[in-house]
Amino acid sequence: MKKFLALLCTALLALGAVTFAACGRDDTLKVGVTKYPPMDYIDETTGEWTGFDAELARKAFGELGYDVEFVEIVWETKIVSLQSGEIDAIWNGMTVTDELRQNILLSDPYMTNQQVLVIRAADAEKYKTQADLSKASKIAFEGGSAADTILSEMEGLNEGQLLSMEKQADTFLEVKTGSSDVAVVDLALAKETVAQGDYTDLAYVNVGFATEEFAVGFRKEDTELCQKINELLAKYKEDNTIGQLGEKYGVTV
Amino acid sequence: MFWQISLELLQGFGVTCLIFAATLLFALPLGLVLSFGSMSRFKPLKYVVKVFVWIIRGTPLMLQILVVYYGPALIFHWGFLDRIVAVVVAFVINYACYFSEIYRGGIESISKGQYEAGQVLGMTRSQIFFRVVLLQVVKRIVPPMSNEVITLVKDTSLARIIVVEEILKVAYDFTVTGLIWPLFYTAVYYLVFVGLLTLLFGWLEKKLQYFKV
Repeated sequence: MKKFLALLCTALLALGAVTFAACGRDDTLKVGVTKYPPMDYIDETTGEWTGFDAELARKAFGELGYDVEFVEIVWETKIVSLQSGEIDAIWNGMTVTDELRQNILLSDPYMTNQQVLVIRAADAEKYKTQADLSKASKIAFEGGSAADTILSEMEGLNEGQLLSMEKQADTFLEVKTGSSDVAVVDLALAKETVAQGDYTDLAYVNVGFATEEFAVGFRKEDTELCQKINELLAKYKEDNTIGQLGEKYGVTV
Repeated sequence: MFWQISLELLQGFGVTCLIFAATLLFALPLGLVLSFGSMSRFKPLKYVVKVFVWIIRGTPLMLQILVVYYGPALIFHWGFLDRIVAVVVAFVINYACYFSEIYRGGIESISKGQYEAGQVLGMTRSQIFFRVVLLQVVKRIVPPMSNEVITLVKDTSLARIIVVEEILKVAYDFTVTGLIWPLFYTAVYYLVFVGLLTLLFGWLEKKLQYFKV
């Protein structure tokens, strides 16, 4: 029996010594994305990542000679994913903020975006301007997002009205069920989401929040790669590649 | 549509079951090893194990999953375990600690008289443990173990934090495309599985009835 125990211990130790997969960073560039239509999502027929950002990323990194591998990440821990080398770039409709700039390297902005209100279609009369937000019992938004910044700087709202959530996509469920009255999310996402499935009884309202910019994120030391992407992005703006992609995916650039 | 989604959820549930089975497979024996450690008469070993159990039981499983997955790359630049492997490693360590305390409770509940009786009959320490004590311990720990095992089924949903496609992650992804009901429908899968486990444990307790002491 002692032998058996010894064997058991040895087996467990051996198991503990799991080998780590070497992370080759040669020709494959790992791009961090989330399921965030129409920017990045999985095509149901091909099973491949597609969307405005996915197509742009594939084209740009392809031109630089990289194979692109899309890696699904958890948005809240995106910086950890980047620093740890799980991914090499973030290209997922990421809004430029001062906080992000401190932690990672950002490319030049490649498109502008705006925050809009998502409400139940039946409430359309009630929410028409920014000031109407004070009427909402609860306002849902993604913590750390552009909406978070706007709402925390806005006057006339009290703490109790604000509901900071994990993901933008979660806020739709809040409004749909009536748990919150308003969600503040990206225009691109709002447009796509209120048109489908269970969310067709929702609507979005543009109340003229300041526009913001989307950029690609890199590790701070990857300045060379970032520089090359900046050149390509400038080129794509010039030759209207970005404009055409916008039309294809219904995104206002 | 309904069948299509049921099937996709079932695939997610396959991953859930995989985490569940792998965790039990490794955590059950590892827990026993840890419980021996925490009862050891060799003081340093005893305290090392006690501190380890304190750390693991004292921190959230979600945090442990993040540490196992990102820790090696962030601290030592070693690269990554496969996501599912990282989840299983974190679960095994976590559950082994809980199991070890249940084992310890079970083993210490056996009266000293039985050990003494064994010694009088000329049995060795390991003979006493494996032939006399162990099966009684098994009987006594079935109810608390069934609690932990059922909790484990549902804890698997934490794997979502490092993007493992378990059933709740699959269901959550449907909400992004405007489908809400799959999220609540997942309850059926969990309920059926836990129902089967409950029956299994009921049967096991009955089988061990004759050990009444």
